[in-house]
Amino acid sequence: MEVYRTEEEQVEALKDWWQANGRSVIVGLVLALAAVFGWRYWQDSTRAQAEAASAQYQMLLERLDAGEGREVVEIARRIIAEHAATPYAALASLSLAQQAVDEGDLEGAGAHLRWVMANAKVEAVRMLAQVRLARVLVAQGKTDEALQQLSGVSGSSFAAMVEEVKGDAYLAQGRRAEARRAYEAALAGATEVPAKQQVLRMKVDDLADAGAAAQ
Amino acid sequence: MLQFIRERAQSWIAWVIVTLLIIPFALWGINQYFDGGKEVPAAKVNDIEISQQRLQQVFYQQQQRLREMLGDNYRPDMFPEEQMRQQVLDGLIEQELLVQTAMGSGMRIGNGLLAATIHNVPAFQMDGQFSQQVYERALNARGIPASVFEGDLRRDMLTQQLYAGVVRSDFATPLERRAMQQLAGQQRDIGFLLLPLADFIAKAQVSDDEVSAYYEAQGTLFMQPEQVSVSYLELSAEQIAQGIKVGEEELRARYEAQLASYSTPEERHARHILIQVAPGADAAAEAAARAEADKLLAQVRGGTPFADVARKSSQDPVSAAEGGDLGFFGRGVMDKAFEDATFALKPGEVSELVRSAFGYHIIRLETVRGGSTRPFAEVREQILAEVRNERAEQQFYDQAEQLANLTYEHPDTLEQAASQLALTVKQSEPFTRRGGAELLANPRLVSAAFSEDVLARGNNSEVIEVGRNHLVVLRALQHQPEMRRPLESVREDIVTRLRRDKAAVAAHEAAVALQQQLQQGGDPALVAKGARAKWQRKDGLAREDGSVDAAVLRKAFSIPRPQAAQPNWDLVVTANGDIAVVGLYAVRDGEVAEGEAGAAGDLERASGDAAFAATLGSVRTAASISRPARQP
Repeated sequence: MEVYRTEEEQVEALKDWWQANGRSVIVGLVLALAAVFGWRYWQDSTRAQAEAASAQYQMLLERLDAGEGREVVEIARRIIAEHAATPYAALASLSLAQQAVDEGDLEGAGAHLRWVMANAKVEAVRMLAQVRLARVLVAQGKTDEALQQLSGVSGSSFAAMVEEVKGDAYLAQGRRAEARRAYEAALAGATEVPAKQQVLRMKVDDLADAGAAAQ
Repeated sequence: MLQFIRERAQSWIAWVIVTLLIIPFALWGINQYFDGGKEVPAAKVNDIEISQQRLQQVFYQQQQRLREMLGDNYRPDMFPEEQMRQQVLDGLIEQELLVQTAMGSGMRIGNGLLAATIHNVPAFQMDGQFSQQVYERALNARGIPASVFEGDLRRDMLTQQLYAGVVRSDFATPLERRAMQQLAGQQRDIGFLLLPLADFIAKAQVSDDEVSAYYEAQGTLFMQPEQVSVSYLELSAEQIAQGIKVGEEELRARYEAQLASYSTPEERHARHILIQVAPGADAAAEAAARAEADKLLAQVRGGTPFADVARKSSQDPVSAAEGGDLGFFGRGVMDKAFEDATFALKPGEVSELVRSAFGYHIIRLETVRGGSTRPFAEVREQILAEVRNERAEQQFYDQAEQLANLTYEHPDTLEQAASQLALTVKQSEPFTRRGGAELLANPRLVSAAFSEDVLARGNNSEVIEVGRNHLVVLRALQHQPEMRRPLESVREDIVTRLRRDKAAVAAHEAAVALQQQLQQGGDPALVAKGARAKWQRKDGLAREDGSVDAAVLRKAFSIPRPQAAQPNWDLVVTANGDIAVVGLYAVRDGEVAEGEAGAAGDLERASGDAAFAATLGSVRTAASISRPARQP
């Protein structure tokens, strides 16, 4: 660093420096401030969006408890239209799929579930939608497509669910032995869900003849 | 530059620099300083810690809930503490995982929604309206700051949203409903042949060689746990009391002294008519009142009912309304002159005029009660017990001290204390660490008997308090270490076991043979007859049919469907060891009710539960969770 002899020289040096760099300092400051405020603004608006969607979703759950299917559909559509970027849109879409199945509109249910697969923010929700889509496809008789979807579901925690739907698909195709093996795998993996175990036990037992043939 | 700073150190620039330096220190320095002695968290989920304090708090709340739910049935040892703590921690980790997942995906609970939820809680309302005061009072009562409560609620609501989003959006497709109706409503036609185990047990033969071989092979089954028998001295106030003699005169003297406590005070039920005389009234007023009272007395004596006269003419407004009735009263309640007059009357009698501080009374006595005293003979036992207990307690304390001293000073015998205190040394039956009978079931005695001092060193135990004013000192009499029970004492047991095992094998062989006959087309009724077994047909069996043994029912629904007219046969052992040969004749699927919900609700729930388990599992796999060992 240079050593300045007098105060005048120091002031002179500072002035020179400012002449050379002042503009970029100001531009830098402005940019930094803009970034900070922009970030904060973006955060605030994201939060406001999420909170608004959250309040609507809470209302949706209340209507669902009350058994008001039509209102559930209305609210869900509104959430997806107004707050598509929030995670609530995927949850709302799952509800739409449920309502569609209850109305017998399997095609529509499939579309909602595909939307969830494309837009879900939580990986588990995405996989859940994929398994449900496969169930809808089985119900439509599109068993090959269902099996193809199921092969895209990863994660060991979804294995038992996947096996059960595979079993349903095989059974619909008349492949009883494979169906039984799939149900047995599902039963082995469903240890945490007693209600499901009961259902699967029945499915396995009902295919006892297929099991004997396969051995 | 340094030169520059040094020269300007006194000026404002120095202050600016110092101020700038202070800010980061103020914000981070102190924090770091306090973090130094931080405790190990109960668990860590990704970067978030669950503190020991939080765990303890929720654990405590859980205990409270159980206590409230179970009421008097609650016992702390019903729920092993460590196990329950782990469960609570599992729950907290699960919640933390869900909260992080929800927050990470951008889910939020806004202030408005939070407030609306709080406002809807009935416990925070007054007359159906939310009240800030009620809210604050409720939180204060539970010792929870509002900020903590609101934070917890926010987390609960977030996890609820995620949970509901996964579980409550599940469905049952038409195909699934149909399949479930067919399965759940399925009916099966069966027949079964039951071979009772008891028949085979009766026939089973067991040789001595088999018994001894079993005894050798299964040695650990026949261990006799460690036992000890003890000799002991028992000192109790009750026992001392029995031996205390009390003279007859003394009992009588105490009876006289406490006569009041054996008597009930006399009470009299009276009516009265009052003609008031104001305090300090002159002679004329006095005379007028007296004349009036005389007139009323004459009416009463003349046969007018007392109550009527009182109601009409008495100047005591309260009792007049009741026909002059004053109810029962004892001595020391009423005016002295009034009381004396009342207690001098016989029931049914009417007094002369009585002058009290209030004026002239006419009194009629209705009835008398109490005033009796229990005779000495009746309370003698009670007094005797009292006197004995008082003395015994005093003696007990003296003797207790002697007992402690004597058994301590002579640690190798109880005789010294026994002879000095006139106690008898008693002996117990052998007992294990689980305790003996009656007195020896007391856990303090048991642990003393098995203590090193008593068992290994052969000393007297300390004085053990087994009840109020009830002491025991013991010493080991005979110690029997853990050993194998002799063959003879367990022979019966082994024979029973062996016969049962053999019978089970024989029954199974017989059942297999029967199954073969049946599979080859044998007539079940005849086959059963040949085997002396019971044959039963059951058509239209449903899954929850209670009329058939549970094991048979389960088997009936897991036998493969029969291909042709021939039934399929299989074996099953029932809960009590009997064996059944079950034949499945026909299967009829449940009827499908199109368009109806049917079992859809159950299906949706089962499916939703599975969906949640899978979601949680997926989130758990993706997270890093650590649970440091608990600090002692």
